[in-house]
Amino acid sequence: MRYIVLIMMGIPAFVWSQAYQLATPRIVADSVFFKQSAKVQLELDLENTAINYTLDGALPLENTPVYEKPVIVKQSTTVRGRAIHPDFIPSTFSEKQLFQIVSLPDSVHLNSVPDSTYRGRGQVALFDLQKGTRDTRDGQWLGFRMDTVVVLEVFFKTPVMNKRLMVSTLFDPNAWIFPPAAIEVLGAEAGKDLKPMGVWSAKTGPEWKDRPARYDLYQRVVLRPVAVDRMLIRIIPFGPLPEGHSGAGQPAWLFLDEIFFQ
Amino acid sequence: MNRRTFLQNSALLGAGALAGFRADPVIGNGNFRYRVNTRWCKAQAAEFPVKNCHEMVFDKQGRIFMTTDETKNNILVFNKDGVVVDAWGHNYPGAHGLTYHDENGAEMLYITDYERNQVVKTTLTGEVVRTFEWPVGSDQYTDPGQFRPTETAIAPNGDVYVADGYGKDYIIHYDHDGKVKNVFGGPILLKNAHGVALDTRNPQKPVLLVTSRAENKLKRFSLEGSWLETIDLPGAYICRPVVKGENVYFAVLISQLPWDSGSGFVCILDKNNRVVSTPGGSTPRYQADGSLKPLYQTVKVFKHPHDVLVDPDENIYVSQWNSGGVYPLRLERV
Repeated sequence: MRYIVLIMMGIPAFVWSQAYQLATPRIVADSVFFKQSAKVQLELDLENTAINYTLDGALPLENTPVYEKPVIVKQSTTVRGRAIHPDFIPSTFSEKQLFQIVSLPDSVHLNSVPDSTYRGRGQVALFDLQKGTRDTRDGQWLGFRMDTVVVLEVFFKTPVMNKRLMVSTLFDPNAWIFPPAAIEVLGAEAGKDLKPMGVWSAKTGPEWKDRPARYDLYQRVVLRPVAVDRMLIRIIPFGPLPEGHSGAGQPAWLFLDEIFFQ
Repeated sequence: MNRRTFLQNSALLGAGALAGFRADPVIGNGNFRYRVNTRWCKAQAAEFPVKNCHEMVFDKQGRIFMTTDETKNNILVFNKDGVVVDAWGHNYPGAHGLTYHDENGAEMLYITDYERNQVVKTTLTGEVVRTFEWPVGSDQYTDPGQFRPTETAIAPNGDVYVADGYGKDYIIHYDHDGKVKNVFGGPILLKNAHGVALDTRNPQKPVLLVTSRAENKLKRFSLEGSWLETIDLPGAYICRPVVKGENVYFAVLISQLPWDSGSGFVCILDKNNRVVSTPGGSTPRYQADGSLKPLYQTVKVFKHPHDVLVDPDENIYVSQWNSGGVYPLRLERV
């Protein structure tokens, strides 16, 4: 807010103008996880609005392309957009990650049982290349509330060397949903025993209070470069809700909607 | 403004004269466009504090009455210039819905208080005339705490309809004396029945417009409580409908979850209940199958608008919930 003093006909007049910011543009993709390509649209449906965008994760500033029509992406990418308008402050940028999936397991087995309310479509939902929505009952999300570890086995008919395992989870502290504490991956080369392949662990701090809910949170486990035909994935839940939370001490929920390799 | 600020702002004048100054923006669509005026309300927080500014009505003189859950002054009364001319009410911790009714010349207010589990009918100066209590003996309610009313609508015969929007999502139909005649709606038909209004656009057949806020829908009910029609308004978490002329106006609290997402705007329907303008929101677009594309906030003029009031010049006053204690602003039709 600011005051601007105008002197008109010798009479001072005060004009108080408030500057408003645009909302962030929407980024809509026909598929967040894709095999060949995905179609991406950016939108902020307000007259005289333009959207700068990038497809390489760079900041979408004035020197980046202006969105005109749907864009086809053919590899994993981070789309970012920022809306501009002559009468309003530019928006903050919005972002969406899109993942090309080249390796899918031939079969999976979920050894842990989701909560009866949040069974979703079962283990199939974890490998169906469908992103869950903001509705945790949409069938894509599996919700767990227990102190035990979520254990999954995945099998490949022919040994595959994957660089990364990605786990799509959810963070919504008001709904008592926290990302996992850690993810461990074990893998077995044909006919051999399981051996550690990679570990991811959360960097949790007291800042959870100020963070907004995230329905697009991806944990990345970097894998040892070996070709395996069997993997064991152990997802360790957050554990007790932290101090200061309305449910402090009670177990947090863990929600998973997709597990994929890169 | 102190001398230092004045000098700083005067220094800006040179640059402002070259660059032009930023006028208040115009928002909305088609024939329903409005200039945003945040200077209308002259109240100062030190004198007339507010928490959430919930709802507003006009009286016969054109004064604006507003509910806030601040018990230092639950009701603030503004003149047309936005100056507070009266303030009263200290015992309405959940002051929420506000409805005006001209009872054969006697002007009455209906205040819903979800914390007190009551609707209180008062005069314009706050004398309590009657209370409307939880529906004792109904099949749907066993405890006064289940009744957390958010809104009222008054029928032509003086009957009172109460939306239990923070309770069990029923509409409770009382006679003029507060006796329960009917209980309808409920959690199967209504998800967060936050608002109810009398729709007199067909004067021969007035109906109720009820908010199903969490579903982003308005639902039409007969005065006898039968469901008639559903109006889909995807993206619009509607507070209460306000019927004015052939239009329906309402504040959209948010356009996406969570409830404190600050993603609200204002919405206007035409006589066929189609969206014609969305000040602060995305351009209304109907698709080939007749459905409305989901609406969303495009510019952050509002955080959580909670009610609208339309004056005879068709300006809109907007009060807001959980928006940093802001007073109502005025959208001036252009």
